[in-house]
Amino acid sequence: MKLYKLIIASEKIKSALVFFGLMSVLALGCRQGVGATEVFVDYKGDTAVSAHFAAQEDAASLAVFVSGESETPVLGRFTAEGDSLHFRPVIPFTAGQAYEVRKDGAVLGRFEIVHIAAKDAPKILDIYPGNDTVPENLLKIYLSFSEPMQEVGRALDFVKVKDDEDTEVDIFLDLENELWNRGQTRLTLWLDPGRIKTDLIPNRDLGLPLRVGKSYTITVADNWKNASGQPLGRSYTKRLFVTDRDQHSPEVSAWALRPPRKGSLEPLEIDFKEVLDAVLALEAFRVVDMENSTVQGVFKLEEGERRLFFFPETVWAGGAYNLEVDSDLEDLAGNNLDRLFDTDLMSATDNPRPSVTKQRAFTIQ
Amino acid sequence: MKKLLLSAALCGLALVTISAVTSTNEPLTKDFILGNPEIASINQLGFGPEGILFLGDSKNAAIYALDVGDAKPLPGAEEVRMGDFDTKIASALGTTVDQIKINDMAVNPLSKKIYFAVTAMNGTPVLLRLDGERIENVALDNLKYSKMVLKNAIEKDAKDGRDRPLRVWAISDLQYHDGQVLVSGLSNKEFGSTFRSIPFPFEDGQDYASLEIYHAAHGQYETNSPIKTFNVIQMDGKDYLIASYTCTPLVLFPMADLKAGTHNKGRTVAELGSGNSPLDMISYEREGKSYFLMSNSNRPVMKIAYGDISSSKESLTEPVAEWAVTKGVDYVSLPMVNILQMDNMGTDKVVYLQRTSDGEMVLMSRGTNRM
Repeated sequence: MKLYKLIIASEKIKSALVFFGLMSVLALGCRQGVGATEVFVDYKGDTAVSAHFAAQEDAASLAVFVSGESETPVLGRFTAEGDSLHFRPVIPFTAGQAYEVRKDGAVLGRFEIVHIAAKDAPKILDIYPGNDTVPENLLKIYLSFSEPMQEVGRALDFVKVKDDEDTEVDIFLDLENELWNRGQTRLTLWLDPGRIKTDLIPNRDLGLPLRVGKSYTITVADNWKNASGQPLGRSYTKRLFVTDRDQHSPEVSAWALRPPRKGSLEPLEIDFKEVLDAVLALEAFRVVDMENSTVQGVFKLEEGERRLFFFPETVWAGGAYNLEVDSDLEDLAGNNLDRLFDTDLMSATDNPRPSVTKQRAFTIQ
Repeated sequence: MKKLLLSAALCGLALVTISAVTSTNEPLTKDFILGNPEIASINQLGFGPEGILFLGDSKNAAIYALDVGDAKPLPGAEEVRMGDFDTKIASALGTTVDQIKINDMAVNPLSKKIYFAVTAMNGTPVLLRLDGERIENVALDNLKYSKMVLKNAIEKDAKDGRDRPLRVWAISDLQYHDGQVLVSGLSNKEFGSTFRSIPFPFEDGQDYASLEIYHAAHGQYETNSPIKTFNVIQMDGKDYLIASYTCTPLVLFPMADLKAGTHNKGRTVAELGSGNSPLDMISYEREGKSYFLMSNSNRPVMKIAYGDISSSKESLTEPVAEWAVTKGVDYVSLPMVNILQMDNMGTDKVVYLQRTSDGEMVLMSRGTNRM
């Protein structure tokens, strides 16, 4: 029998009184002649950050253990507050895990961390490229999640790719340090660059990760968990249809710009005429006026990252403007505005110094 | 990762230098501040002089130098042999092995204590160290530290005040060498090489080199590709950076030639073949010869003699058609597989974390005389 009693100790911290029934206390505690100490668990949100109990003992004689473990105590700090001792572990207690407070090896009290009722399951919001048609030298995909995902394990254990003959294929680079954004909500996966790069051994022997004319299905497993341990709960799939190699850098001069009308809030429309990197394209642009001041507004990508719209905060004034683009903006094959992913030195012009930005002028009338 | 010790000779030299520095100059930690550095993640660890621990934090795009209060030299290290190591770490953190990840390991060259960077399920970064077989927490909320934020590889024209979103650099390797903290990083956005050389002690507003390092495939196709792991080795009296790329070549650069704003092109000395990712590189000396060891995701540990690299005068020019075959300098495969982490422990031992064939994670040391 377990009894959980929740007490609101403060606005932010909830304490859960957790003790095992008399039988378990007798079974575990009496042999050492130690009574059952009631242990309260302190929750911050859904995280069990500390535990406390009434104690006269010197903290130096006490230790907290994972139940069943006898050698390695849980690392943390004891602090005395009034008649209570508080124990704060180095990382929060784990939901569903039982713990013991011991004095010189004898169990003083036990507690278990409750599962706080799960919120909605985490979701995959987008898988980029948004389009399903990609060049055979596609360099990366992005997975965008609704909330921070687990920081343990290996992302590629949850991402499987099959070709159109239902054969599982390895296309992604396995990285020890995975490429997450700071919030752990977006993962970048590179297709194996050693196979994309012309003439390296992996390229010569295994060929490109994706083959032109074939289709592939990427499946994200339902058991991938968020940072608090809740799984996606459903799997997600994305089809890729592979077309010809992209061996051209994006050309700013080739883009079609449709300037808005003076005095309107219409967006500036930029048609790339090809699909560009979904993450970089939202960060690479700025609109500046004749005084070189940045026009404030919001960029949005449409049509599977083929078109970019800039919505200004205030109405457009007439005159000359510049669209500035970071040169490290890439297309789907990792070709940026200055250089190709794969530079053939036999035909390349010598351009070792990259530019920072490129410009494209437009006028609003 | 790790590997401050470039070679036994350099190690000895470093110790001499350290004692010289501390006796005549102020300690390198003199401008460290006491407080909470707000470390958000620990991706890489590496020791510098005076027991200073360098820590690569990808989430904050920063390198921290920490005074972990562990600068007392110990001449020799005990053998290490701990089974079920991940279970022990998990128990020490009050959880189970599926709830933690060991990101990196480094040995303090002075005290010979082994440090571990561990991440919890929710991302909480933890720094642990072993005292004998006892696991200790190195509290990160109140210690003396110094911090350097990694700049973007290509800085924007700042006149409009528009900040670019912070780049996350997945710090792939880190090493202190001769007054510089060398850092290789992978962007979570652009594909490209970001290799930095940051003078230490860190100073506010200091500039440092962000190097573009290219390698070529058989002299023709080149890529500004990210470096996975690297080491600095000394051959014929010169320092060389030996870098292993994400797309497998092992490339050599003279350190003196690496300059910001230039097109640094290295010499490919080997290709490591398909389906393999290099994990760690360390160097050691045995019977007067220097070697480096490289652990791999899909291969046994490789041992390469410095002499074989320096005598391999030509860059790789001819492609090889055989799958998963290395090409270039000779190497020896040691009977060490599934090595997850590896570092020097003193001049005569290497310590490593290994997943054995029955799935157990063990922490072991091995004498360099057996390598």
